[in-house]
Order: sequence, then structure tokens, then C-alpha cells
Amino acid sequence: MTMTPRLGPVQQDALREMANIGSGHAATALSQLTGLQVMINVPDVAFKRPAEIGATVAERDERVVRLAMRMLGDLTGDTVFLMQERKAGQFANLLLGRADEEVPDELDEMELSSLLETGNIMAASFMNALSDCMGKTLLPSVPSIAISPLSEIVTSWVGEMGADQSLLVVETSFTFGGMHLDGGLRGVFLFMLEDEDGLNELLRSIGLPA
Amino acid sequence: MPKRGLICDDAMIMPVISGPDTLRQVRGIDAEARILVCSAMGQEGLVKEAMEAGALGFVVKPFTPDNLASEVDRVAVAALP
Repeated sequence: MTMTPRLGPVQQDALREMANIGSGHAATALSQLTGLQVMINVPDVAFKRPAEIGATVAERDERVVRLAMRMLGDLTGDTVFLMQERKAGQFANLLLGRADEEVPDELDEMELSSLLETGNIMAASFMNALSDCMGKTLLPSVPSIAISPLSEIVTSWVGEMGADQSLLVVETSFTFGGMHLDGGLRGVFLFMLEDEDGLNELLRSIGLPA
Repeated sequence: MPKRGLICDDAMIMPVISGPDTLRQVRGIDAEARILVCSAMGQEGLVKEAMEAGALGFVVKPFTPDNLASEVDRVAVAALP
């Protein structure tokens, strides 16, 4: 698995637009689930090393919730939703219809399950939109959830991919509006491609030279 | 074996057996099974595969209670494959 960082401005714009469509679908799904207004930023498209991923979500020693889904089929990669642990607790309260209750110190089985199912729906909505754009079938894996310091997640990525491996990372920030939440409620959705073939397939499918 | 009114399958992606394979096995056990799939994986190819494997309906998550209720009503009387 190797990826040479290279994208012209047209390719970068096209990928950003695709990510925008995918994230828009995911935001709509999240809005339907929570009843809240969900805002997304313009997705950031960049080549990053594993150690550089996630820095906009939390400090390295901060505990985060990671909802991950591997993507197989015509495109191989990963989708990951990251949220600070406390924010994830607020989010779980929202999902379970008890937004006014105190945020749990530790997430229990029901809270984890609601977050996992939400991550599943969010990633699937993104993949469904991408599949429509590409005319390809993308097969997601069983979703997983983990809570740990961001540094441990980064270490696992370095272990899986290698410290010097470049990945194509599309990062979209989701912010929930219409709620009085301490410091706001925000999570970051990452779409990561780790091999050249996947990137070429993606570019070709939208009519751009690979 | 007791007769089932309607089977709602909400797992298209599983570790050991795929959603469509599950549907085929269920249909093999009960040829008259009325199966409704509820899944977030609404890609055209996956929906088609599920329908060919024996589902009578497919609801893409997230859905409202009304969406689900109307699809349950439809599947309950739909013609069997």
C-alpha cells in the first residue's frame, strides 16, 4: 500500500465536491436522527501521515470516541467519526431523548450502542452517496466503536499503515445547532484512502485522469 | 415451526454470513416468509441483491415510524416471489 501525494487543483476540487455530497447526505441522516440542525464545513482534502490525522478533534492525550467502518468492494478505505468522549456523552443523551440530563462520566452499553448505530448510519449515508456518484458498489464492514486517548488511535494507524505512509484524507466537521451545549457539539468525519488504486478508481469514476 | 407474521432483518453486513445469504437461508426454511430489510446500506446494488435474495421490502435508515409502518403494511400483503 503506497500513495504518492499528488493532486492537481481540478482533482482536489472534484474530490472536495464528492465529499461535500457524501457529507451532506450524512448530515441529513444525523439531522433526522437528532431533530437538530446539523452544519458541515467545506471538506478538507489533503494527503496526511497517520500521525497528522485527528489533530483538529482533540489533543493527543484527550480521550475520544472512534466510530469506524472499513470500506471494501470497488474502493478500499476507511470511514471514521471522531468525537471527544465528553461530547460523545452529550451526543448519546441527545440520541436517547434525554438532552437535559447530566452527561455520563462513563458511557454504558446503551449509550455506546446508540453511538455505534448512529456512526453506522452516518458512514453508510456517506458511502451510499459516493456509490451513486461513482456508479460502484461500496461494501462497508461491520462498524466498530472504541474509546481511548487520541494518541493510542494514532499509534494503531501508524502500526497498521507505517509512520511514513501518506493517506488521502477527506475531513468534514459536523456541528450541531439549536442546542445550548457547553462549548458546542462537534465531531469530525474522516474518509481515508490508503492506496493508489483506490484513488485512481475514484478519479476515473468522475471522469478525471488518474 | 410457528408461523411468523413478518421478519424484519436489520443486518445486511455481518461478520460470518452476509445479509443476502441470511435472506436466502430464511427463504429456504420458510418459502412464505415475509421479509422486510431495514438497513442504512441503501446503495442500489445492495438493495437489488437483497430483493433478489428474497426480501419483499427495503427501508433505508434513518426512517420515520410512519415510513416503517407503511412499509410493514405493504410487505404484509405483497405477492411472494
